[in-house]
Amino acid sequence: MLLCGGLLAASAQEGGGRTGAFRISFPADSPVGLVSADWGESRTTTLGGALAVELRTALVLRNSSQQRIRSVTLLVLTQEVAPGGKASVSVPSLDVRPGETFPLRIDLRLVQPVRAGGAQVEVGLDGVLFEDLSFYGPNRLNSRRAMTVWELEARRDRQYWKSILEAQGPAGLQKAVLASLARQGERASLDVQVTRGGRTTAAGGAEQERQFAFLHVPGAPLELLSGLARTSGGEARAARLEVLNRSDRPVSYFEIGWIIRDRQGREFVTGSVPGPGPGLRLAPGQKAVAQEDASRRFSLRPGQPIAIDGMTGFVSQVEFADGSIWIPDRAALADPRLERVLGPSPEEQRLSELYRKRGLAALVGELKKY
Amino acid sequence: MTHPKEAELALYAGGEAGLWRRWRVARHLKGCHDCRRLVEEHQAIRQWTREQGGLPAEVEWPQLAAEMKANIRLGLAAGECVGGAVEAAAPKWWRPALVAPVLLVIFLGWWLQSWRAPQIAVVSSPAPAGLVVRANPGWIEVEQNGRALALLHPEAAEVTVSASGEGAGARYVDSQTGYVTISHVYAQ
Repeated sequence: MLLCGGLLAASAQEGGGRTGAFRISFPADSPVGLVSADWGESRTTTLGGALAVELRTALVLRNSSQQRIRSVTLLVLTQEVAPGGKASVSVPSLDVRPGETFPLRIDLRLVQPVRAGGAQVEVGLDGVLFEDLSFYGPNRLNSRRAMTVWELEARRDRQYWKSILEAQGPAGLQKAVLASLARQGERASLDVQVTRGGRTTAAGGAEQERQFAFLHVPGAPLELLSGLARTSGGEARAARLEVLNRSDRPVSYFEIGWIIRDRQGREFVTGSVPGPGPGLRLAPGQKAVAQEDASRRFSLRPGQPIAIDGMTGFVSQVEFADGSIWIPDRAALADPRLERVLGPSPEEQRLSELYRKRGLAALVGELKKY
Repeated sequence: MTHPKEAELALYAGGEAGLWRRWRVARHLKGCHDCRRLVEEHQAIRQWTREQGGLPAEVEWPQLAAEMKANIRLGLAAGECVGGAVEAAAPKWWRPALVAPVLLVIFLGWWLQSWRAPQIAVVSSPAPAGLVVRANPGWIEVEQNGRALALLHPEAAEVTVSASGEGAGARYVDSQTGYVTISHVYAQ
C-alpha cells in the first residue's frame, strides 16, 4: 500500500505537473502560479474489483498578477473515470496581494472498477476574482457568478461589522460575533442523497403532493407565486416553483432556497433549486418555473431519517442579464428567521472563526486591513 | 517469457491477489496479450456469476446432492459386501480414503453454492436507479455504476452541505489553512 502511494506521488511529481496520474496545468497567462504541490498522503487501494484512489494534496499558489485576489476556483477533471467527472474547490474571502502566496488543499477520492485502468485527474484553473470584481478564467463551472456572490456578501458583512465596531466599539463587535457563532452552532445540517432517474428508496410510505410556503425576502427582484413537491417520509421529489420578475430588468439566472421542517418544528436549509438554466432571459413581468426532477432524501446526522412536515422556499440569488447580481442586504437579514435560515456568508464564517481562535484583537485588526 | 499460473491470473482478476503478486502480474500483463485475454475472461465469468446470483438455473442442486449421497451409500454397501474377502489383503484406511474425496466434493458443492465474492460497499450496495449525489459531514460524492468521485473534508469542525440534481456542495473552514473552502462535485 505504501509502495503504491509512493509510486502515485512520484508519478505526480516527476511529471512536473504534466504527466502521471495527476496533472496540474494553469494557462501561460494565469494570474496565479503553482509554487509547490505536496502529494504526500495520496494513495491507491484495491478491494474486490474496485480501485480507490485518494488524492490529498496541499498546493501553494502565488498571485502573479498586479491586483489583489479575492477568490480562486480550481477545476478538477476526471471525465473518463467518474460520473459527471467534474469537481471544484474554491477559496473565497481572500485578500492576496501581488506576489503573495496562499495555500489551497484538494482532498478527493475516486472509485472505479479495476478493469477501467489507471485514474487520470487533471487540476486546472476555472477562475480568479479580483478586488475590482474583474474575472480571469475559462469559467466552465460558472464560478464567476458564485465568486461574485461571495465577494458581494463579504463586502456587505465586513461593512456591517465595521459599522458596529465604529458605533459600539470592540464590546459591541464582540457581542455581534458571539451572536453569529451562536447562530452557526444552532444551524443543524442534514445529510442529503439525491437520485436522478428514480426515487432514492423503493418504499418510503404513501407519497403526497405538498405545497411550499414562501419566505419573503425584502428587496428580492423575484416573487414566488407557487411551489409544489411530492414528499414521502424524508424524501421529496419533483419540486416545481413558479416565480414572477417584479424588477425592471431582465433576469438571466436565479436560485430558490429550499427549507424543510420536520415534525418537531425544526427547520433545515437543504440547498436550492436553480432556475431554468442557460439561455434564460426573464423579462420584467414575466413568469418562469424552476423545477427539479431528482429525488432528495434527507436524514439527520448520523443517518437518522427525518419526516418532512413542511417546506418553505425563498429567493436566495438573482443575476440580471447585464451581469449584476442581487443578494439579500443586511436590512433583510434583520428578520431573525431569515438570518437564521440563510446562514453566515463565507466571510462572516471566516471572521467569526478568526475571533474564536485568535480573539477580539485579531478580529479588529483584520477588519481594519481593508 | 514466463507466464503467471492461471490461478494467479484468476486471483488477480478478482482483485484478491496480494500486493506483491498483484504488482508482478500487472507488470506482466502490460506486455502479454494472451494473459491479458485470460484475465478478461476470468473477469467476465465472475461478472456473469455475480449477475446470476448463484448457480445457473439449469443446475438442479437438490437432485445433484441426492445422487451424490446415493452413490456414497452404494459405495459403502458395496464395500461391506466384499469386505470379508479383501479385508485381509487391504490396509484398514481404504474406506476413509474412498469416502473422503466424495465428502470433499459435497462440501465444495455446498461451499460454492453459498459463497459470494467479497465486494466493497460502493459496489455491492443496491445502487438506486440512475446517478446518485450524496452530501454528508465527511464528503460529497457523485456515484454511478460503481464509479464515484468524492471530495473529502476531513479536518473541519463544522461542515455545511447541500445537494441538488446538479451536484453537491460543502462549505467549511479548513483547520490547516484557516480559509473558508467551498467544494462541489457535479452530476453533469
